[in-house]
Amino acid sequence: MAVEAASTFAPDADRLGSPTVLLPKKSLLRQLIRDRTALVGLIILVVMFGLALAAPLVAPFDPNDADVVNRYAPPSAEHWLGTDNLGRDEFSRLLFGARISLFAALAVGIAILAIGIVVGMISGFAGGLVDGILMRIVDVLLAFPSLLLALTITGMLGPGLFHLLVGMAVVWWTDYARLMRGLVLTVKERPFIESAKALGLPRRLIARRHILPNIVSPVIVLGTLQTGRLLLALSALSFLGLGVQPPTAEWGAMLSEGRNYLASAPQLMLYPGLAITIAALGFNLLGDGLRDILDPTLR
Amino acid sequence: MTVGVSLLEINDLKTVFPSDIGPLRAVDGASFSVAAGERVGIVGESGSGKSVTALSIMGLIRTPPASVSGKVVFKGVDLLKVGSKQRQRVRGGQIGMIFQNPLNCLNPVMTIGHQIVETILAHEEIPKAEARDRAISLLQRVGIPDPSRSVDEYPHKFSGGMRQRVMIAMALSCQPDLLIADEPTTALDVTIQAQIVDLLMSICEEENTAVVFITHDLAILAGFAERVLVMYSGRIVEEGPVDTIYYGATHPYTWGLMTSITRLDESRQDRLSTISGNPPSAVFQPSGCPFHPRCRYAEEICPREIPALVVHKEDDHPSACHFAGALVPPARLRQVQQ
Repeated sequence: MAVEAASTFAPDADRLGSPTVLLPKKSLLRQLIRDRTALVGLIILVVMFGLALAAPLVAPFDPNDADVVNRYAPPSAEHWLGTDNLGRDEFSRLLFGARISLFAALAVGIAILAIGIVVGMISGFAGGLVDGILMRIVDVLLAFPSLLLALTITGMLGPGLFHLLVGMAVVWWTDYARLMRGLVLTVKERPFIESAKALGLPRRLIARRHILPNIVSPVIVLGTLQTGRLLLALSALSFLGLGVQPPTAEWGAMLSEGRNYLASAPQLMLYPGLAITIAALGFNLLGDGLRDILDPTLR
Repeated sequence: MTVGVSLLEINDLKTVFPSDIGPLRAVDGASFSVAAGERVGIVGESGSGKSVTALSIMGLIRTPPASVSGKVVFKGVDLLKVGSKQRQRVRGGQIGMIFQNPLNCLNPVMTIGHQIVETILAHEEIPKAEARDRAISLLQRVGIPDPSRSVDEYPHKFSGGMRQRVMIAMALSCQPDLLIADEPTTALDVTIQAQIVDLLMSICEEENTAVVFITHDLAILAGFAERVLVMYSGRIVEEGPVDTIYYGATHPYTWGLMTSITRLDESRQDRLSTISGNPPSAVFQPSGCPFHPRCRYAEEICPREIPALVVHKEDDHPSACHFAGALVPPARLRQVQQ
């Protein structure tokens, strides 16, 4: 009977080969749609990332094409948001700027997530001296105002987008490491971990398959909120001239350029500022929504 | 010890944890053996060292800070001397363990099938599909209804009793020679307890798996164990075949345990009998026999000398009491013994 039942089920066995289902995916999406906050955030982000990706197709002009006779043009059918101090199409620059701003924020977000998860897990798992050393490093980094520290590191490396990203990653992984360590410590003491040890599972497998999936939800929430914050920080640092160098379009850099014409053409600061605000809002709304959805089910 | 060669020999096992007020001797020189296919019960109060004994055998005590000494010889190999890799292979592969609280012992975010398959693959190199087939037949074996569907369910869909069955299936997944059950029925209600005990019994008989059943419930052991070890203050104080312990115990502590069982067939006018006092602290142990401060038969020698677990002249089984065999059991127990 057992063998029979098993063999009729055998074709389905390949299902076990698929990666572990961390979350009930279908219901997560459905819950996201039902949660109005999260849905608004999701729509904002999807539209913005979509436009950023499709910028070369959507943008009516080359973002760096200067039309010097047609400077400070008001919005028109041709230039939807008008032109800037060099006669470049503001809308096209916003679209191409989104590519850098959004994806750079995302790249830093992923990098610090990876660093933070690894450090946090090692720290929580190993304990003792290793934990002590890693957490003191975190303490040192947290003791400085993060934006200032990122500014200093980037300044030492020299201006440029890549250096800026490195500087940001060095500073901001600490939140994840702290969070992960705390979560690992709580999950580590739960009985099923001891049970897994008693079944002779190797430590690394226990960490990957039993601990990580149980703590992924708070990390997703933090990750979403954090990326919004990173976008703001990235823009701030670019505004200070450390990131993208002119003439490349980037929201923070556009803000910075627009600053010189604040009195005569305030819209040049308004548009990138609005774009940054809306994108950050999108991340925050999605993060809040995710927290509402994920937290009560897991805790 | 009539059955076969011993599978597990514990010799002078001592597990000591450091604490702020001094070393805490959770297990203090326990010695016993388990034969292949044998069902052994370990009883004792909370804090008598039962669970720590089990964890020490499994190698689940973190050393340091704790220290585990003595000998844990399993199939001729001293587990306290081998490396952690080999230890890990034994754990789950040759010695399975089930815990007290089945509700928390399964990973909530993994299907039970995944968890069983993972255990099998950690110990054997077989294709995943084969491991899955085995998981299904294991679930069938432990009495999970509709195993080919249940294998893909998450633990929250199962009741406590069903989860304990799943735990047993996981512990059995690599055909261990020894199964250590640490209070496997304590968190379950009485009818489910009986089912789990029956299940363990049939597994023991069919697969010839030796079972060490740890509990504080003497009634459960009566129907299950062949041999009973009574543990007190980190030591074995009396051991013998189940009938001997129930009807011919000679250690005053065992008497205390026996008389504190409530019985339906007794008049209700008597007060429920208890063992006065508390179990001794594992840090500040009394001198001599650890039971003497609570023992009503204690004499001058008791605080001076630790009684050895030996068969006394007047006795028929090992009992760690200076006067084993010479004392008269309490009246209430004598009725049962006749």
